[in-house]
Amino acid sequence: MAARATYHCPMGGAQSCRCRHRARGRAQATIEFAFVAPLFFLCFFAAIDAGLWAIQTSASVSAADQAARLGAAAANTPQSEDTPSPKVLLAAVRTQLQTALFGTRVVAWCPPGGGACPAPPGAAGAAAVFASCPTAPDQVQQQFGPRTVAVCDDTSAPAPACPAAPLPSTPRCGDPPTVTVHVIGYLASLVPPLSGLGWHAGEIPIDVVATTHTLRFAP
Amino acid sequence: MDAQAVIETAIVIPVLLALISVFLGIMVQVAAQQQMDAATKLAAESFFQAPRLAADAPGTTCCPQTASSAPSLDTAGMPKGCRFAAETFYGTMTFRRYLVFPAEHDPAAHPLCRRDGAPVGPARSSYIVCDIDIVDSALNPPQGLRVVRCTASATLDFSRSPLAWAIPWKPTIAATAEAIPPPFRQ
Repeated sequence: MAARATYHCPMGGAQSCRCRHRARGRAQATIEFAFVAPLFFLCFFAAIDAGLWAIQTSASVSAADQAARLGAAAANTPQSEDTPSPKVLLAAVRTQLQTALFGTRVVAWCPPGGGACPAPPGAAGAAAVFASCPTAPDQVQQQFGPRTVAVCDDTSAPAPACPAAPLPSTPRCGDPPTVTVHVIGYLASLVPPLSGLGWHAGEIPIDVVATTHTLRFAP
Repeated sequence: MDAQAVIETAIVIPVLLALISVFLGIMVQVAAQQQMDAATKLAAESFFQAPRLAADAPGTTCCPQTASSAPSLDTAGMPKGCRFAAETFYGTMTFRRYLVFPAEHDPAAHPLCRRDGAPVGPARSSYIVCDIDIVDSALNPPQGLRVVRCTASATLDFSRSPLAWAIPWKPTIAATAEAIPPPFRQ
């Protein structure tokens, strides 16, 4: 009631009333702006981010795809039966990844201080982490810092050879190994963190996988 | 004036939140579509990475529908290439959280491999369907070339996500890829 009495200015003159009216209007506008502006800017940056993210994801899917093909083809050559190391795969796709992944570092999943890459399966200490591909983007962040995406490949163990006739063949015998390429980590982003989606401040997680069988040719 | 401000805010904030949700929904759809395109293409190509006449031994299975479930496809007696295609698709198409594949509702209509429209082997309820030995007369005319064409489709079900309130519809994504046999195939 007191507020309403003030609004009608029972005691003051017309000039004082207009003054209070204007002040009240400005305060209201400020509060409205304070509510709407953050949402507006969130929408604005989310729109830009969605576009950038679509480009970045597209490049990552394409890079994983290409690296898997390369891994599958290079795993069986007269020179070697080993799958190329993450460094070799990254060299093949670095240009397309680095061009699209603005503000994001692209690395091979190899020990940052140097050493065998990939680390041998029985490696001890810090190198043991690099014996297999990361399973979550957080692992990349722990090793290489924020806004980093790692390229990594895993090769399955080859299947046993098929028994000679007349013995019946066993499931999966003679299958070539599979190559799985991961492009995993956190992309640089404009939006603040959103809870429940695994986002960090200024980062969006990415985990793209491509799997295929290695090519085997008759000897 | 007070009531008007409240009404304005009550209208604008949900609209902005809906806009953000739709952006996120589009991001999810783009990611799923890109991954499905890549997975289908790789799957069709990996059909030819198996020896030409090799068939799977009895008891061969593959492709769990989730990371923790049992293999879902029985590929005994089928061309190895069919299993290779399925393994490639299931291994590459990891973004499945909000996807509903039609094979989940109608397993019989989704065999892993078909020849002349008829299912090959026992594998049903497959997320990818590959038509094998199709003659593509556009290639190597006039006799054509026997190719493999794989197709996959799924519905994005946002009701499984926090975006359900803003995106009540269920977009469908689909991908088709064709692969030709490499000339040096065994």
